[in-house]
Amino acid sequence: MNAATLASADPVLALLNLSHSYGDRRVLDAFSLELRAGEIVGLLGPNGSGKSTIISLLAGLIPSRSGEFRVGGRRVEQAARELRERLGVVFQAASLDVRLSVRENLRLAAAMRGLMGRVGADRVELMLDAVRLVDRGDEVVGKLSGGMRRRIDIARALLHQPELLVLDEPSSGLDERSFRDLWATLLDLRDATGLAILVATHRPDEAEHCGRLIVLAGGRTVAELTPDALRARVDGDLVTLTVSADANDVAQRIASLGDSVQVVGDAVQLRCPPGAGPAVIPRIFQVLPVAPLEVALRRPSLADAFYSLTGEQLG
Amino acid sequence: MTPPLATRSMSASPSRSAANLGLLFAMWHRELLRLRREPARWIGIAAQPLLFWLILGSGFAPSFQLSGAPQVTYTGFFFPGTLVMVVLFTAIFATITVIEDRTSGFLQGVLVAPGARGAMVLGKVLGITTTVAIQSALFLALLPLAGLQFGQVVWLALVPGVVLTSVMLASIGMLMAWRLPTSQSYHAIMSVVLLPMWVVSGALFPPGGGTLEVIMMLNPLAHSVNVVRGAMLPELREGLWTELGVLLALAMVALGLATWACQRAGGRPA
Repeated sequence: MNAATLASADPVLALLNLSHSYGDRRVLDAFSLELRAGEIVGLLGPNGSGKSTIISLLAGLIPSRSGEFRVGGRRVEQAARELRERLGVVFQAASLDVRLSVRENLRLAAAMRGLMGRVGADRVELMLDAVRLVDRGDEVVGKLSGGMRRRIDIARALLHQPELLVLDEPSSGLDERSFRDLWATLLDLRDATGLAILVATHRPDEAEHCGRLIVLAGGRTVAELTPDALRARVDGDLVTLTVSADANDVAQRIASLGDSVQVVGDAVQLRCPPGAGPAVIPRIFQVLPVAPLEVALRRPSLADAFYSLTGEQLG
Repeated sequence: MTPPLATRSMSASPSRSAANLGLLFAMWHRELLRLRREPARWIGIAAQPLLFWLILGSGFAPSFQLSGAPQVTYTGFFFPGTLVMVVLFTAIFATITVIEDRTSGFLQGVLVAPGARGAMVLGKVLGITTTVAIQSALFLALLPLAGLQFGQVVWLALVPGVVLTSVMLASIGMLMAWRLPTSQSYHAIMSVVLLPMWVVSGALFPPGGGTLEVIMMLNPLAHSVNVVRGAMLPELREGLWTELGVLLALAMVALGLATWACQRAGGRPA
């Protein structure tokens, strides 16, 4: 099933003007979101940008004092039963009892969703199959790898067939293979069920899987766009210099060689038109009195685009 | 047969009562699963009061005489208090897991379930009470060693007395664990509040009048000890049913407070 064909007119979830403060510190400011069936939307931002606050508000873990929650077009209270029934949440820390087996954990989670007896047991087996862990079902969770635990946690969150899956930094602590497995599983589930997915992340490679990104910085939405559109903001070649001299001085000297120049920590990034990078590098050596320690040429990443947009580093 | 993976319509949602019952069952069942996984831990929790009973019982026995009931021995007098200690220790160690669950992330998964917080609290309290019931049954097997007789026990008072004590203490434990940020702070409160509560409950010594007797009357655990002791010792049965009524009221108040507290804070220390 194509995700595009699953998109419907009524959003599965809409959040309108959510704000939140811890004491005097504003951590989320007038955040709004609409999410439709089959969509994967990413909340992209560094730590402290407000991503986890959004998820905590959505899950009802912290009280909402302003804003609206809408489910299927209808306004509901925060943490309303109707909302919680449609929602599966995978938090940063897995919501599993590491002393119990995989099946015991999932049966408990099924019961928490009102799925008991044969119906609950069947759902558990179905979800174990969906996350490809049927043969590990009787093992104690504490003995499994981080990647497997994450997949079990996703199975837990999907036992009640929610319309929306919310994931808070799902790849945190996963190795590359587990990361790929996780996203293969998520995309399969989305394609098979039309599940809408909201994922909070600071990883550019994770954001690439999203159809739409909401870029957050300092609790505010800076932009809402596709990964391609975000990358296009810094289209071209990116030459990165690691320098021993004053980075600001280097930036000033090479600024005329490209479209824009930025100092990022100890490095200087020069953005050039697409394909111009190889020709620009020799000229850099000509204008600098001291050769850079290292020169790298690459296409801009989402992280570069994020920096260009917000002035903040991801991660 | 379960339908294949598919987004469901809202008509397939469990009813409110099914969601509450499911959450209650899950919380209760988890306590039993953990008991089965870690039997040694729970036996250890019950063994500590047993050692207390053996050591203190044999130490104080020669010098103990209860006015008005000279035939009651100290081991017999102290046995009901030790049973209340078993309940206390079990409730403490079982409710401290609320803090561990918050730290580990398990609690967040519980809080997003559609059932009411009250069902969560009741399920946890009933799970602890089931554990207490098993431990109490094992401990009561030692009744003859205390010079007490099974035939003289008023089981209709003892069983609800132990259950209500467990409900009360588990609720107090939940209330504290919900609000406290770390297990260290819980241990501190336990040392300063819960253990002294047991010491001045009449478990160790009878009320001797004066200020201490007033403190004992105000101490919820004293009513537990009075019920359990009255049910076991025919000589100290006066006011048993009144005490059971007071204990029932205290247990319900504690359960209500725990439910109220868990509904207010969102699973994080306030």
